[in-house]
Amino acid sequence: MDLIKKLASLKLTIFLLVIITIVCVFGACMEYEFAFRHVFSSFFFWILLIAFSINLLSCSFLSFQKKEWFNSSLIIHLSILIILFGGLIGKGWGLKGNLLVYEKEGSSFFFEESHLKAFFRQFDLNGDWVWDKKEIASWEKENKSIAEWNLWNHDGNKDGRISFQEWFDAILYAPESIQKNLGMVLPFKLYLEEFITDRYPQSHKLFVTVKDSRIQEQLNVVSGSFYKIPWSSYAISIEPWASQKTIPDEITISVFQGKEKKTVNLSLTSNPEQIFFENIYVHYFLEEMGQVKEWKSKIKVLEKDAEVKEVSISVNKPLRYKNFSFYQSSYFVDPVKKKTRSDFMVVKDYGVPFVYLGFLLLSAGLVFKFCIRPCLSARKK
Amino acid sequence: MEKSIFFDLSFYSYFLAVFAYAAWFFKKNKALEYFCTALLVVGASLHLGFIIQRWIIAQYPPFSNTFETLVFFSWVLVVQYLIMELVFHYRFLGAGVSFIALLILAYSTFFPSAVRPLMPALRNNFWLTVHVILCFISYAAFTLSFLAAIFHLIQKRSWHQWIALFLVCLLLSGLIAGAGAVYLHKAGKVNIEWNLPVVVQFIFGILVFSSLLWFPSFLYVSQKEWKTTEDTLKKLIHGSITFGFPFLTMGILSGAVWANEAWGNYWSWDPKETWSLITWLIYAIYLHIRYKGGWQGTQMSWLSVIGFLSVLFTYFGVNYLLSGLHSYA
Repeated sequence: MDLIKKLASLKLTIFLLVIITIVCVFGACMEYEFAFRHVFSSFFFWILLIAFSINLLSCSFLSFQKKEWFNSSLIIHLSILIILFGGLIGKGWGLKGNLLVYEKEGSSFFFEESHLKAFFRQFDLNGDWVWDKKEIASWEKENKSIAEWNLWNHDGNKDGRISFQEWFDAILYAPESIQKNLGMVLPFKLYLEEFITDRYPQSHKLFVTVKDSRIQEQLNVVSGSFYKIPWSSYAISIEPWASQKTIPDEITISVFQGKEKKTVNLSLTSNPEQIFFENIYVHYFLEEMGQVKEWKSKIKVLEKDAEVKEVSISVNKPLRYKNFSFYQSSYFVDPVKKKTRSDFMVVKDYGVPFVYLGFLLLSAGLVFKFCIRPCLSARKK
Repeated sequence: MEKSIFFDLSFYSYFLAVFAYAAWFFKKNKALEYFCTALLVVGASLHLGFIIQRWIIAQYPPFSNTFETLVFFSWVLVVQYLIMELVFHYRFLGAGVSFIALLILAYSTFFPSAVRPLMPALRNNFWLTVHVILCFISYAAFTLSFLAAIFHLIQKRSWHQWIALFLVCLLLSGLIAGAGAVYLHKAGKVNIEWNLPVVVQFIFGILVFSSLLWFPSFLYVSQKEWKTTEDTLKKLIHGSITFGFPFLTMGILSGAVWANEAWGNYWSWDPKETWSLITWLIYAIYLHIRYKGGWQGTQMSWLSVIGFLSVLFTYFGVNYLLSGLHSYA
């Protein structure tokens, strides 16, 4: 019992919180990848989290013993434990990887993150695989992985370098037995019907630059608007036009410098650029293409080549199917194949429900402890 | 600049409020009290008008870039202060709050304010609204606790007084020097290359300027007889932190849920995430130390100051010095 009391001590909690804070500051000041691998995934950090969990657990145990069931601190401490438990499940039994599929093709194979990391460390800055001759020799000796060895055959020029695309194709079309060495084969297939890049409509803009300075501003062309150009004494007003729905090809703008004002017509076609006060350049233009609104993949889920589901995956709208979640992560236009490839992040994490439960309890516990309870006790007084 | 008359008028209201509250600070007067509050209420209403107007024009919650979040931050700060003034009748932070709100609004004009369409990752209005609102409610509460903590420290007739004052001068000088450097660089008057000698000169300049600001303020502060009791300040510091802490927690958690929806990862140790966790840990340490007892008021005030510096770094420092998933914020 004494040991539990010592483990539950507030001094230990504060000490651990301080150490965790210092480690986090240390990690946050480093390069992201390095900090992730060597600080936040380090043995020392795990020990700290375990020690913190034991401290919380002991504290909760003492609350249980005192039969303080509805103590908000108990709820807060338990919720943190539940979050850490959820994280542990995700880390230990979860799966994370990348599924890459070309348009009008299907794939059930995804690269596991742990395998990818091992491979990527050997890619050079251009994204080319650099063969390490010693490593190849070791593969030969140990017969380590057929897939890894087969990569050599896909090196188009046999020059000791293989591009990511060559490597990816080698794995994508390899037999399932080889694929299994590098990732996982899903019990279903994702068939990419179409990859769509949704764009916002092109918008009319004014591009403003001030001579001998670094002032560059892009202004939206809106009827009757007025803009001050930051860091300068200039301001621009756009004269209103009749129709609010369509922006005309010719607009009238006034440029102000103090009380002086100069007004001109700007046309998209004839005189898109004008100089005012010998110093400020204003260029009227229509964007070449609208900004990206959404990346969408139209997907068919196939089981034994029969279609079971048709969905559209986009950022913020993942597909959840048979305990797997698919997130739109990237895309690639293959100049050789002239096809677009959609890249999905595949996640299987049984810890998420626990983490979310912990989030809910933590929020409820804190709101009750610091917002509701003080109000209730103030009312009583 | 896509601002409107609402923005300009709220700016002027806060500007007047700074002087009105400062005048009240020196000469307490009932009529002046009402005038100060009225100025802030008018400013906050116009400010809200600007936020709503922008929401309507942009057709998404206006919390998607630095300009918009700064505008929202200063509004939440003023509103929280007004609620505090209404409930507890504390007015001594009025000048400080109006000044900070004014500074934030002025600072926001350094950033592109054009209404731009949302990038794919931000096209989730629900989580965008919930996450940003919760975070900024907590940031505003921590700003109030910071102001109260500084107020508490500069009342002490000890080294706490001059260090706290120097810290304030340092923050102000840094802000002025930063704005000046950006102006000179943007206007093409000087070409600033950020190498070691320039950084050293810049820091040295800030230190000299802070000292120049500090000396007369110290002479004034050390002679001043303060009327605000220590108990009131301690209550205010603790009250603001206990109010802000649940909101910070929910802000971080809502961000985690959103990240899981958009990227498939509820925690990826991105610099912004890590720094918000650091801020959370600092305030958690504060709460545990207070619960344990044994620390004096000044030590708790310093902890509150450290917490706020961490908030500042999470919000601004990470954007400039570290890259990560929150690069748009």
